[in-house]
Amino acid sequence: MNWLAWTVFLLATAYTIWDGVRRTMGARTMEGFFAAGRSIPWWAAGLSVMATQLSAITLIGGVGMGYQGGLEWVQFYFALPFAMVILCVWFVPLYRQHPILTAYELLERRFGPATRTLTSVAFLVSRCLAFAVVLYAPAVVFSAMTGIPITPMVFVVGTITTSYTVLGGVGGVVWTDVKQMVLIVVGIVACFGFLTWDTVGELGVGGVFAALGAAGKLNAVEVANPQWSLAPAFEPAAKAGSFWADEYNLWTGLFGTLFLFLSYFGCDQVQVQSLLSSRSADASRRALLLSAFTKIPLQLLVLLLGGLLYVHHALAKEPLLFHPADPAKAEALAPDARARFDAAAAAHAAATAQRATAMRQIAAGSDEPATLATYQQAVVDAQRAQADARAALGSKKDVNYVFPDYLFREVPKPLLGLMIAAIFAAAVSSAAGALSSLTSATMVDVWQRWLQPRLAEERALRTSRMVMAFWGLAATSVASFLGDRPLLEQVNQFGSLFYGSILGVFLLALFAPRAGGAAASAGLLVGLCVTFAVDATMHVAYLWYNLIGAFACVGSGLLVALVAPRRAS
Amino acid sequence: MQTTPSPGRADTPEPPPPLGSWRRTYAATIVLALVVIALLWLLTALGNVPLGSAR
Repeated sequence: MNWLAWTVFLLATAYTIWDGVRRTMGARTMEGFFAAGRSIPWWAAGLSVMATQLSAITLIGGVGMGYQGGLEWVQFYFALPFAMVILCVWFVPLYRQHPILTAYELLERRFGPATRTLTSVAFLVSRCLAFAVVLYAPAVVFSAMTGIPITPMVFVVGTITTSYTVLGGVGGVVWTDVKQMVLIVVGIVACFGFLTWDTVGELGVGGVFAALGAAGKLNAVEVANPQWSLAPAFEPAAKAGSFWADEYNLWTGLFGTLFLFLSYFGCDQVQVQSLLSSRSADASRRALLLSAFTKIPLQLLVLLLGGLLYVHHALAKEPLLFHPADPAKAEALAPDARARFDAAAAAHAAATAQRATAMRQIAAGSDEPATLATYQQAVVDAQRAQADARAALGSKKDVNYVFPDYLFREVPKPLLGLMIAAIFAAAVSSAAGALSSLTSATMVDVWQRWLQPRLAEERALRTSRMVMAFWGLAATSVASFLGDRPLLEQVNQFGSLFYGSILGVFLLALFAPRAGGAAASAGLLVGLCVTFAVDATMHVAYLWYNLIGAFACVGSGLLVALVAPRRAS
Repeated sequence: MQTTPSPGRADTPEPPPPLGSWRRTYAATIVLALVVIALLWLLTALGNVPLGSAR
């Protein structure tokens, strides 16, 4: 990065944070601090919901997944509009009937204090580790690209996030999210335009789509696969052909993620705090529907950006490896590993040359089966050569480095600064949402509920800021000690172990009038046990955990309600 | 047992509104989502050639 890129990055980042905090520094009450005085307009709450959900790794990894896997990841978001409608109809009225600050406060009104505390603690457990990784994961990428070591990068992200969240509370987070979301969209669109100019200028729109389709990258919907077996996979060997282990297809996208999104947007304090901060129930509905209408197009844009980058590299010169540390590792290889690496590099050069020729023929309209077969073979050979090169180096998959590699090597410096600011904004906005929600759950559901119920407003606010600083410091410290571990996927899966059961408790509150506190608490515990048991014994795509947990919780809760129905209050 | 744990908040309960005025918006959201999924399915069916299927 040169001075121009640094200037654009620093100015964009400083402005988004300064303006967000400036608007909300004067919070004097708990409602002001944790719900922005219920003053947030719908569009700001909606943009905050989107910014919190879009983490830096989702953005960087999304482009990388589009590059390597095509459009298949868009199926993950298919259920989102349906989930948002369900939340608008049933959950929003429930939340906006009472002046609550956390989603779990509501459960005390319905089920009593034990269920509220259990659910809030389940949230805190599932979120606190995720928060550290939300700080850590982008720092790893920034560190690799800028050469700054990981630990200082973690402290930079952690300190900035904690500082402005402590100063501005949820209002500060929401208004900063708004600027950050605008920055992210502008950055994505600018990059998309830059790559479109480059690739469409050479192949034409039809040519680009033909090249992507012939490489199997227009795979937006997978309805059926002849390899699928409906038998559950208990052994790793059976995982490959199991329908239940397949992560991205129409069915996980419609049913597995429906329960994930219902829980994430409807029961997770990270998102519910934005809904509770908006001006009215209708404002909360509009905020949710903004995501319903824009999330799939935005995700398609990110994946297509990866597709355009693929065409760009295929036409010019695709790097053998994307991680910036890999070339230095190659120089230091032992002779036998070096020979394997060189062989992989030669195979990659041959395959990419063949791929470029065939791609141009296909883009020009050739429908010769031989050309298509040559192209597909070259696509597979190039991928295999890259995997062989990584294996020779002992490196992991480098999907998260595909986009940064392009940004740092090829885009103009002002655009690089803008994109790094956008990626940084995505990292900070997700971390800030996690920090404020951890604090509100700790303060409102645990501290004020059990430790100091009669805490005066001013002292409660001061304590909240201290708790927030503690969470920020703790997560930053944990993140700085994580080292180079592939934790992100495990943490996402860890979250899914909790989401379904927490949703189940809210479903019991909404739709099971007979269910009381015992039924809800038992349902939550059974749901968690069943989900953990499935995770321990079977190979199931984590998206299904959400459905399994919700069904187990609701089913066992209803059974307990039959034996011990709710007492009339 | 305390049921409203945080004292001093504005008490502004809102009654749950009927589906009424939002019905068309919800219907439009669902229909649009189904149309988008159908269009993406068409794109896949017409434009995608799975790797290994060309011989």
